[in-house]
Amino acid sequence: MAIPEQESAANGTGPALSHAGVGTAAWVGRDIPRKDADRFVLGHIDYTADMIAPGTLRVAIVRSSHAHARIGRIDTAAASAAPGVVAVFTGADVRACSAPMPTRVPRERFPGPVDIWCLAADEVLYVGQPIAAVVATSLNDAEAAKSLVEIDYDMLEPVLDAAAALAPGGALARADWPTNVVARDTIRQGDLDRAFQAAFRTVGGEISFGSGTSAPMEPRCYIADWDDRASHLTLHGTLQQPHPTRWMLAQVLGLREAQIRVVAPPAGGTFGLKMVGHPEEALVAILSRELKRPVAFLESREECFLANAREQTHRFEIAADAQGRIIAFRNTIVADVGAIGAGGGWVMAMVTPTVFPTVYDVPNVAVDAVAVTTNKPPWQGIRGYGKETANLVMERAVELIAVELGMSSIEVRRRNLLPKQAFPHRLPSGLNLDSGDYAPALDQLLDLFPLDEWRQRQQDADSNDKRIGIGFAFDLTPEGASFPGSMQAGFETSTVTVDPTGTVRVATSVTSPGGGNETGIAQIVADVFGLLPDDVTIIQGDTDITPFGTGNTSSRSLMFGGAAAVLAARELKSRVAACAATLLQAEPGELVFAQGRICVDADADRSVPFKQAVSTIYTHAYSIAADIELPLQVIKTYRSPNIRHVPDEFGRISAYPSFPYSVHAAAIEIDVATAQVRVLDYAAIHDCGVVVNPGLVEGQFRGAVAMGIGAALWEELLYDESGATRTNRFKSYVLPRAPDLPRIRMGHRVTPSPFQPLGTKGAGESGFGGAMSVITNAIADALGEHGRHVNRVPFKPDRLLPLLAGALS
Amino acid sequence: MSRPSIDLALRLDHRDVVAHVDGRALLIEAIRDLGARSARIGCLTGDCGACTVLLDGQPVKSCLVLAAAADGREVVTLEGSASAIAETVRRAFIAKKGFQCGYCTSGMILVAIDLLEAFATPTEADIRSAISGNLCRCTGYDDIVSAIADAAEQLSAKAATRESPEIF
Ligand code: FES
Ligand code: FES
Repeated sequence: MAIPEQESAANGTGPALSHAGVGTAAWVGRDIPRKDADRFVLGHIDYTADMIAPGTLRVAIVRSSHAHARIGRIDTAAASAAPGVVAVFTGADVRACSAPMPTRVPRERFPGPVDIWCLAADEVLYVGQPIAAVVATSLNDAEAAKSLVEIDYDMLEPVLDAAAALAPGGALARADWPTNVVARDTIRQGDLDRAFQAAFRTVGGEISFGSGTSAPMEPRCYIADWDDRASHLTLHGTLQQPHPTRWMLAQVLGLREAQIRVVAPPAGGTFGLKMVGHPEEALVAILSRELKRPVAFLESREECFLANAREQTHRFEIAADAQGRIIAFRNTIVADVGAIGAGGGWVMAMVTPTVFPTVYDVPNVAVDAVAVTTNKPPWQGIRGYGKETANLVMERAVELIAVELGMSSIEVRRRNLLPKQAFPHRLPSGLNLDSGDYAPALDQLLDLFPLDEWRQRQQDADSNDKRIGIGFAFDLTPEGASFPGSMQAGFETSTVTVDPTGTVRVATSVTSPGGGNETGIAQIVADVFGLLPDDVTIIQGDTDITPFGTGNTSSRSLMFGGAAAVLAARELKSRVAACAATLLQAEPGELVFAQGRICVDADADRSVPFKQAVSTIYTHAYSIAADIELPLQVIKTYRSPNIRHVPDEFGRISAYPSFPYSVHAAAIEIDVATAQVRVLDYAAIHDCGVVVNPGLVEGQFRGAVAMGIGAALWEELLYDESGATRTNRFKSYVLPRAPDLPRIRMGHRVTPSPFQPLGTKGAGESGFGGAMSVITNAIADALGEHGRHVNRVPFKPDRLLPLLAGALS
Repeated sequence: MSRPSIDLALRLDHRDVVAHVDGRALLIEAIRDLGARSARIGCLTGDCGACTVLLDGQPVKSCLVLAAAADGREVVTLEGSASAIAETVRRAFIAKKGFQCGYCTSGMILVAIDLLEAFATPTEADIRSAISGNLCRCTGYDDIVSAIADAAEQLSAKAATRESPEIF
């Protein structure tokens, strides 16, 4: 496939997309097509479910129908005798042949024991928790036999919301814990009481968030194949984190890592859902070893909606002086993180408090956060990872104080945004903001978004029929999560090899959720060697051939995996340069690598093909290349210099190195009779530092915005009074469809991160919180005076109707 | 072990195939078992469109059709879809980055081809409405819409060239 020559169509980028320090930037900044693009459009990509070989046993999972109970007798006799059924496993069977799943957060940090088995062994903690596995020769047979498994339950009192979890003397969500409180955080900066007393204006509010889920189009799937003769397990799966999954399996199965190969085939979207720690990852492995046959689990869409996240309430207060300077902000957060499983999804609740006060320079800040466990499904990672709720609350607070001050909220933002020269900037939580250029981004947005026109249309609209609302919001998305004590702590590793024909291979620990990071990594490595991205092959997601690392979380692929690849490539380049210098009778320092050749800087006629220099090293290892270190393979780990796990003087660490931001504007219209919301216009400016592939970054940003609009307007997991998920299909958990969304217009700013070798920041997750926030602000704006009462996201019609009634009366 | 099973004969991606399938099987399950893996399973409830195939030339969600109902009929998946329009749509999806993870792409491309076969100059609203039965969680749809619009433009341009009189 030919690579189109056109430059980026990105707005406001121009030459700023080039970068320093890598050599000639022929490919970084170019909007080139995805690697393997042909295979995608021909339907030739095989996802995990496509790899279920004929003869593989299939698992159907019998799940708890109660939110909290002790499991009594389980009768599997009838199910075992059903057609096609090979075996039925219970928690007791699993206990007899494996060990508990290790938790993403070290177990000592929990207030009570956390023995997590892939099938509940004793106490069930949520509706939908796996209790028994029916294994059959076909999925239909396994499913059909599920209803034959009989389970006796001894009911325990369920804890179904945060208020019940915190009620003194109330029920416990885990019978063996002394408390429902999983974690707390207290963040302090300055003197809050004094600031609030001295304030010219103060205002407070409450905002709660419904539960949401990422719902990628590809459901989860795991295929385990135990080779009994070799005592070796291969697991293929929808896995964002193959190495942590291998670590988990090694402990569950009591195997050495070398006995386990974990492969993550191309992923059909993840958005956090497919992080390590789902019970079925361990379950299929155990079943395959016990049954000595390959076993596959394919999640149904209904099961996919068991992934819970985000439910939380904020009570905040903000104070400003007479000049519109925000002088204080305080907030109390209570998050209902559901049951605790092996995964780390609930950690999102502890990320939220660390993001305040986002992009604003606020001297006095207090945030208190508590995460409580309840008898709802465990939180699973979801785009935003807790940062989205912090941004939304901050953006609401800014709007509310602007009303009190009688100023436009745009002006209040301007007066309080951190200025470019204030970076690096320490947030009260200890996070160290790398760089930013916020106010000019707002100016750029106002060029893209016709504010006056929309204000006019708003005035002209008949407010008893349709109401137009206009919103603005900033979004700060800390990226590159690197948590101490977590497996693993946040470094990434890449192995770069220059093969004998002069092509390049990068095996990297970062995986791809499907967003195209392999193309970006190929671009930056191609630039180091002066080759084409097509000359660079990226290998991901196979623990036998990719080095150890986190995988795909927190927009880390280019930031960490790409950086490691560049460091390794530079070292290899210097080896190839040494050989070329001999061939060209020049000094290595005089050589330039470009367009597949190595030439003497001052004398372009003196050059040698890259291929030839490489071939010489391989074929003249005892003569011309005798001094060049072999193999032509270098492995490098990248650790960010902007991570600090040693507490500072305030006892705080900094677990995120990179801070992309964006600013959003939207115009929405509410139909007064039906409370349906339409998004009429949307514009945003995004800054993730140096952009490697504008098309990829823009595509992911637009995807994040679409998801944020969905989370603000339509998407909510609802539970009935027994704790069962009511929203278990796309008809009840409503994702945005193409006609629901306007075209999302976007522009870039490029404020390189001084801490990252290429100047890039995380991209991919960024924008989600801004979209949630801007829609919320636009809805509040449409409600006029009554907008201050907006207190719950998402704005489904049943919640919006009473607000509209208030606005009309 | 008595399970209802049926014999199925159909034309799948221009090949005649016969299979012995579970009577409960859905068309999507049967064709995937027959190797047509580009049709994806996203929900099995008719909501996502990942399983879209052409059944006797019409796009259908193959999770809403029993395999038995396809007996004697013709099924074309993305892999079997080949025409000038199909080729143009594919190129446009690449050029405009009309996919990220690609899981929705089989359905999106088949629906786009169907739209452009029926209708050479769709508006943006037409395109959005045509793909409204297909969910994409990655792109926010803009790049898919751009890809389809781009394909429409290229096809119209080609048609115009064909219709214009030969000068040489
Ligand atoms: S799998 Fe058929 S519509 Fe989703
Ligand atoms: S590209 Fe991933 S679902 Fe559409």
